[in-house]
Amino acid sequence: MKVSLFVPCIMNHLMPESAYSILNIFKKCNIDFSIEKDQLCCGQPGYNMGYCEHSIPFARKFIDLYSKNECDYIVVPSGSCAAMIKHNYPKLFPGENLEWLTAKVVEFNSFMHDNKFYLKLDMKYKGAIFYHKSCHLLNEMNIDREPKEMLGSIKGLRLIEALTHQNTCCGFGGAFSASFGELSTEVGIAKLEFIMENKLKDIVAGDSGCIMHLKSVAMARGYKLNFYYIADFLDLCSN
Amino acid sequence: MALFLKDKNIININKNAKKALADKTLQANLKKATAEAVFKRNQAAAVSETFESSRDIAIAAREASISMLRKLSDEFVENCVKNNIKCFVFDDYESANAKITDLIKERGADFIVKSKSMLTEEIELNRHLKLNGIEAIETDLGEFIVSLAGEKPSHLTAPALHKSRREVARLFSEKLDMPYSEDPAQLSYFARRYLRDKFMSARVGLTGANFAVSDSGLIAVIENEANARLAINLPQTHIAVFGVEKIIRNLNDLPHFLNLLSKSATGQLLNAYTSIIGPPAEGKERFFIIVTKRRFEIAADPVFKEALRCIRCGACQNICPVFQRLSGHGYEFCYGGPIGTVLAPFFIGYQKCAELIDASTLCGFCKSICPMKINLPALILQHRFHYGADKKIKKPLFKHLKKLFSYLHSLIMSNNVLSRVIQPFARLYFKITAAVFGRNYIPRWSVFSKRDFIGMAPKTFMESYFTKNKKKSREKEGDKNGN
Ligand code: SF4
Repeated sequence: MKVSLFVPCIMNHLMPESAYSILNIFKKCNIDFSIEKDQLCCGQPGYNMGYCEHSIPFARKFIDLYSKNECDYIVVPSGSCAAMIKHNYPKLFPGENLEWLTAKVVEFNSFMHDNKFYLKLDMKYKGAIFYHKSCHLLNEMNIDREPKEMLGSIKGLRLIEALTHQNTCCGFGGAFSASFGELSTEVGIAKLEFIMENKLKDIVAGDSGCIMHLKSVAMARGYKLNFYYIADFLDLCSN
Repeated sequence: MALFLKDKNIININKNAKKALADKTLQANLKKATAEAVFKRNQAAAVSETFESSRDIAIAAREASISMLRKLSDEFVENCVKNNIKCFVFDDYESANAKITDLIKERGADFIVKSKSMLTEEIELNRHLKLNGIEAIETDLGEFIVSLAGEKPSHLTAPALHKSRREVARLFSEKLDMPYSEDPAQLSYFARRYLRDKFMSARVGLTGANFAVSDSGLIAVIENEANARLAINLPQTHIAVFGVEKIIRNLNDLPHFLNLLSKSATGQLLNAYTSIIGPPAEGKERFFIIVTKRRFEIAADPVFKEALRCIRCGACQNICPVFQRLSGHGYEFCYGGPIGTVLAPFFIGYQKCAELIDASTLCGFCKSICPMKINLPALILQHRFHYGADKKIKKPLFKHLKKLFSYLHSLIMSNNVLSRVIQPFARLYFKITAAVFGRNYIPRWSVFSKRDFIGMAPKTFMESYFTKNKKKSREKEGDKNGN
């Protein structure tokens, strides 16, 4: 099986260590991976701001790049970017058949889970973690069971998640976070307060965007919390 | 392309948010009420064996009725006439309001008893009646509270959701001349005693309708307090006002809608009272006022017709992180929350909604909770597309800046050379802000020191990975050469 890793912008620019965690995991699972050197952003920012024409160059490049790549899977470690590529690219190019591409694109959690790679990691941890369900992973990609089963398989770990009615967005929302700074921040604060009230210290999320936002809010409030992108945590537990 | 800085007409979500967030009581009320509502809804949906199947059946039923809305509307009116109900269909609010006013005046009434109807909020009936010297007395507790306070409903099914028990107690003791009490039973008793007199002496009762049944000329009114029953049955004249999209094909579909509405709105297995209203009793009269404004147009839109599936349960509002803080009033439109954002541009125009359509994280929880599975985030996004593409819409400066930002992002980040060139400058920028502000500062992001920014990595993953690999392969080559 040949795998090509797509590195989302936030991970690439702000938290490259998470991409390295993924590579570590790939190595531990003996996954034959490569990375396209010329990859770009998936084009989601323009799309979600309402300017789909601005996302076309990104989508075009992505399609061209992977049309020459003979990998079996394009692993996308972000529910947001995966949804953009899988659901929205076909809408950007209505005349084109992109099934070959959308079939190859898999979100990191489902890739690790559905192929049972996580079982090879032999993971251990002591203590409780809070799992934040990233919105796009949950609501756009319908990925919920996968990360929870992976985390649940970690020996010694107590997995805590918010009940459905307490479960909310982290408040990021891309351009929303800048356009509606106060609202966005308050949503993030509420999320963190929930974590603090429940005396949790370690937070795992399925999307690096959420980590970035929650961490940014926590920094300003002086909360001493540890944030992990899910791959960071899986990697940590498998040492 | 007109360029202007600020437009007073644009609903200022940021300003409204600031005001709402500063009101700690409001925030506490909203947080408690919305969380409870979602909790109850989830419980009700989880224990129900029929919720999911009702969802599919109701969606199919609504899709069918939307696709033949005009025909159904004609058929409904015909069948109402057979039931001795007089129907009036209006496309504009003014005519609907004028007709209702005339009907009330002709009956010599100077007040009416009213049970909750969101459509009357849409057409602003109460204001219109007031101008004509007619008092509209809201009889449902939530609406009654809101109207006592001189406010508008802030939620589709819980109009006084934003108010705490204490606020209601204060309001009642001030406005109704009653002893101060925070006991909900006592409070509703006060309201009931006050309203009973009104019910007994009213000549005209006005209600909405949750569903209208085409093949039999009936309406269904769903409630928990039985005030609609009184408003329908006690006065001589009953007027029901509703939007044309409420029309469904037949009574067979109705139980599925009830199943969904009661569970999604209040988490009840079934609401307390369901009235199916047909022909008026001997000597009494009944009028249906049907408003079609923009509905046929939406029904004909291949994308937005989905929005007409809405049964106004309010679940999308309860679960929305923006609504939970902004409150219904912050939307400045009778329908708040995700469904309100979807409907607003049709009713008040895109220009006013410049900020509103952007005020969503697109988190998608509304889509998941909506009993009618309306893809609300996709429709909100569709509005953004339309707004961006329509040259006729007069846009304020912030929108042009947003577009410019999106354009620059596309221009720079879709170019391998440019995106690499800009890196050091971005890092330099953060170095400067760290020196000046003592932290990573981004305009519009770093609000009131409540939010920091994690900052950029010294090297992007791509840079570090490929230089490492280059080094590695060079080392390998070096090894080879050395050997
Ligand atoms: S859009 Fe869906 S969730 Fe929102 S009020 Fe309408 S039916 Fe209820």
